[in-house]
Amino acid sequence: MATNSLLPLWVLATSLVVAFIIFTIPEERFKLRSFLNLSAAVIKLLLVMIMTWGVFQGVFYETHFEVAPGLEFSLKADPLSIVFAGLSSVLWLLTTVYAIGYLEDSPNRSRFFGFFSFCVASTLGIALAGNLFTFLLFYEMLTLSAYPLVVHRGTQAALRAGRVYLIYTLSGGALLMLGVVMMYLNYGEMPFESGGHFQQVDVAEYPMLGFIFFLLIAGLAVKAALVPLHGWLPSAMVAPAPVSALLHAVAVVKAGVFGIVRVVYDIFGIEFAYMLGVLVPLSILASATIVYGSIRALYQTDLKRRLAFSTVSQVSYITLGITLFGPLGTIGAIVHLVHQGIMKITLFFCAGNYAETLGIHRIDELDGVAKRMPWTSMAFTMGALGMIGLPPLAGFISKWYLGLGALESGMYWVLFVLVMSTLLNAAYFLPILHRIWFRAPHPRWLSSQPVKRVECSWLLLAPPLVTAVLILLLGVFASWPMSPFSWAIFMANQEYGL
Amino acid sequence: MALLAAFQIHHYFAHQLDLQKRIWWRFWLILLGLTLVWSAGDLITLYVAMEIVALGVVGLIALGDQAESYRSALRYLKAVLLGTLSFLIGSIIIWGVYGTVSLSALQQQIEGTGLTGLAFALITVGLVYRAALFPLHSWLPPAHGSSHAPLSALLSALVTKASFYSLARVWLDWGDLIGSELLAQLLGILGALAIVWGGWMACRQSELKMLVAYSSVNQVGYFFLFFPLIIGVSHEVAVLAKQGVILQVISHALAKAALFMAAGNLVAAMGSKYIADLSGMSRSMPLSLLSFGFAGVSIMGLPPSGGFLAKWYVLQASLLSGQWWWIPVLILGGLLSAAYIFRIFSRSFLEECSVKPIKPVPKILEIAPMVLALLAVGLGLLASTPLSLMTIAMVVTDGHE
Repeated sequence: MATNSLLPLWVLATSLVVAFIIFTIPEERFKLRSFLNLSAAVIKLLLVMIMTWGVFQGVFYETHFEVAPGLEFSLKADPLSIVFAGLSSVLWLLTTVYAIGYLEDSPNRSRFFGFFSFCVASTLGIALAGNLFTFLLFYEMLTLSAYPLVVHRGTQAALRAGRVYLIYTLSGGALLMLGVVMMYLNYGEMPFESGGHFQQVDVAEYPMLGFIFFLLIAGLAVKAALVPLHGWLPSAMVAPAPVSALLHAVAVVKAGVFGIVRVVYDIFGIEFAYMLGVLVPLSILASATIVYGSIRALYQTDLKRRLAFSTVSQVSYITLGITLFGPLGTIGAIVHLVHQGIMKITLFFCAGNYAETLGIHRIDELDGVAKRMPWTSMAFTMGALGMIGLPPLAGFISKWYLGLGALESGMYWVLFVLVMSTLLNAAYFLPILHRIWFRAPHPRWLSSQPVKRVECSWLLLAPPLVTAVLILLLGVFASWPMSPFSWAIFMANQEYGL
Repeated sequence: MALLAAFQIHHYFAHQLDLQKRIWWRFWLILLGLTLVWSAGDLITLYVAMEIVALGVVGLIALGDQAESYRSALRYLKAVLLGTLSFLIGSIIIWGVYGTVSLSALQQQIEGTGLTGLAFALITVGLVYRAALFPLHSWLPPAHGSSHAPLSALLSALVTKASFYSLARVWLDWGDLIGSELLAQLLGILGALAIVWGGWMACRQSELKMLVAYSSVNQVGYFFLFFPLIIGVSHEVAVLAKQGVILQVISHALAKAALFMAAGNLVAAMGSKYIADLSGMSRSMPLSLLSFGFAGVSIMGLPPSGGFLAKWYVLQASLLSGQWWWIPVLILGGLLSAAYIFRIFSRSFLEECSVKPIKPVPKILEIAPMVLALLAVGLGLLASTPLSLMTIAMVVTDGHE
C-alpha cells in the first residue's frame, strides 16, 4: 500500500498560508486578493480530488508528529474525512466566488477573507484529523476564527450575537476538552479507527465511559445545535450571507455533527455505543430537536431565521441516523451530511441574493419575486423541495435511507418523527414557494427592472445555480461510484465489518 | 539551569527594539539579577539576586515620569522589601539551625522541626508576595499598568517568574521533606482564588493596560495550582504537573509580553488608554490586534498554544491525583480569560463610531509582539523540544544535588 505523508499538510497549507498573506494585503487591492482567494480554493479542490482518487485506489495518506510526550498531531485521510473534505472544498470554492460578489465595495475585506481562509483551514483540519487530540485542536480553531466573521458587520446587534456565540461555543469547548483529557488519561492515545477502541472492555468501566461519552457529546452538541444548546445559531443570523451559508452548510454546525460521527463510530464504535446504552437517549434528543426546530421555523417571519431553525432541525437528521443501529442508518446519516450541506447553502445563497438585490428580509415581502429574479427563485425552489425530500432530489435519498435504517433497527417511532418532520418541512417551505411563484408581484420591483441582462451579479447567481444542479445530480446519479452515496455505503460496510 | 536561563534570554531580543537609551543599565541590571536567580545555589545568593532585580525594576517603573508611576514604583518597592524581609528572616533562621544556606546541602540535612517549618513558611510568604499571588497581588496591576508598555512586558513576562521560580526551587528541594500537604493545598486554593479574582477584575477594568495587568494576576494563579499537584502525590502526577507548569511559565511569558506590547501599540495609536476608545481600531491597527488575538489564544488556554497544552497537563494531573476540585477552577478561569480577551475584540470591531485620527505607529513596533505571540501559539504544536530540554535540565540538577 502506497503512503503519502505530505498531501494532507498541503491541503491545509493552501488556505492557512493564504490567510496570512491576505491579512497583509492592503484593503484596496481587490483584484490581487480575489485572485489569491480563488486560486487557493481551486488548488485545494484539486488536491482534495487527487486525495479522493488516491484513497479510492488504496493509497494511505498520513502526516503525524509528536506535539508533546504522549500527544500526537495526526492528519489522515479515510473515507469519512474524504466525504467531509470534499464537501468543504467544493463549497468553499463556491462560497468564495459568492463572497467576492457579495462584499463588493464593503469595508474590512482583508480581515474578512483572512479569517474566512482560517475558518476553511480549520474545517479541513477537522475533516482530516486522525485522532481526538488533533480534532480538538482544529475544532477550537474553528470556534475562534468564525467569531470575526459572525461580528463582521460591527453593529451592536452583530456584537451581541457574537457574544452569545462565544458563550455557547467556548463552554461547549471546555466540556469537550475535559472529555478528551479524561479519555487520554484513562485509555491513552485515541486515533480514529472504524469499530472504535472498546470492543473488549470490562463492564466495570462502563460508568466511566458513559460519563466521558456524555462530556464529549455535550461539548459537540453545542455546535451541532441540538436542543437545548441551539440558542446561538438563530442569533448568529446577523452575519453576512456568505458566512451564514458556510456556517450552516459546512463549517461550524457540521463540525459539531462530524465530531459526533467520529466519536460514535471511530472512538466508541457503534456496537460498543449500542451496548453502553447511549444511542437511545441520543436518538430521542435528536428527534426532539428535529420536531422542535421545524415547529419554531413555522413561526419565523424573517427568511434567514426560518432557514436557521430549519438547519437546527435538518442537521439533527444526521445525529438521528448515527444512532440508528444498522448500516442503513449510517448510510442515511453520512449521505445527509453532504446533501444537507449542498441544499442549505443553496437556500442561503438565494436568501442573500434576495436581500442584496431587492432588500428582502421578511417572508411576506417575497410575493411574486420570481418574475423579477427567476433564476434565483428556481434555485431556491430546488433547495426547498430537496429539503422536503421530494424524489428524485438529493434530500429524498437521505430521508429514504434514514427511514430504512429506522425499520432495520426496529425503532418504528423514528418513522413517525420522519413523517411528521417532512410534513412540517412542507408546511414551512411550500407557503414560501407559493408566494414566490404565484402571488402578484410587488409593484416596486417591476419598476426596478434589471439594467443588465441577468437579474443580479453573476458572482452571486452562479454559485446557487451550480449547487441547485448538484442537488438534482446527486439525487439522480446517487449510485455513481464516486458519489457521496457510494462513499457512505463503503463506510457503512467498513464500520459494521460487512 | 543554564538551559533554562538560555531559554528565557532567548526572547529578549524582541524587547530591544523599543527600549530607549537611559533604560539600558536598568535592563542589564535585571538581566544580571535574573541570571543569578536562575543559577543561585544558596539562599543568600537568591536573596541578593532578587534585590538586584528589584532595584532594576523600581527604576523601570519610575521611568514613567508621572506622579502615578512614582506612586506605583514606591508601592512596588514596599511590597518587594516586605517580601524580601520575610524571606531574609526565614533564611536567617535556617542558617541559625543548620549553619548553612546552600540549597543542596540543606536538602540532605533538613528535617521537619517547628522552627524549620516557621522559616519555611516565612520564605514561602516572602516569595508569594513578590510573585503577586492573591491576596498579596495589589501592587502588581498599578506597577505593570502604569509603566511603559515594553517594560511592562518585561516585568510581567520575567520578573514575577523569578520569584515563582525561586519558590518552586525551594519547594521542590524541601517540600516533600517538611512542607505539609496542607500548606500546598492552601497555595493551590490561593491560586484558584487568584484565577477567579484576577479574571473577574480584568473583566471590569476600563483601561486597556490595567486589563492586561489583572490578567497577570489571573495567570499567576495557574502557577500555584502546581504546588498541591506536586507535593504528596505519585511520581506520575508530579511529572505531569511539572510539564504543565513549565509550559505555562514559558507560554505566559511569551503571550503576556506580546499582550503588553500590542496593548502599548494600540494605546499609542489611539492616544487614549481606555478600552471604550478602541472602537474601529480593527481597521487601523490590524496587525497589533492580530498579535493580541494570537497571544489571547494562549492566555485563554485554547489550542493550538502553549497555554492549551499547559492546561491539558494540569487537568490530567488533577484528574490522576483525584484532586478534581481544580477542574471547575480551570474551566471557569478559561472562560473568564476568554471574557476579558474578547471584550477588547468586540470593542475594536464596533463600526458605529466617528472615525478618530490615528497616530501611526512604526511598523517595526508591531513586529515584536507578533513574533512573541506566534511563538506562544507555536509552542502548542512544537512543545516536544522545549519540554525535553527542560526535562534534561531537571534530570541534570536532580543528579547534581
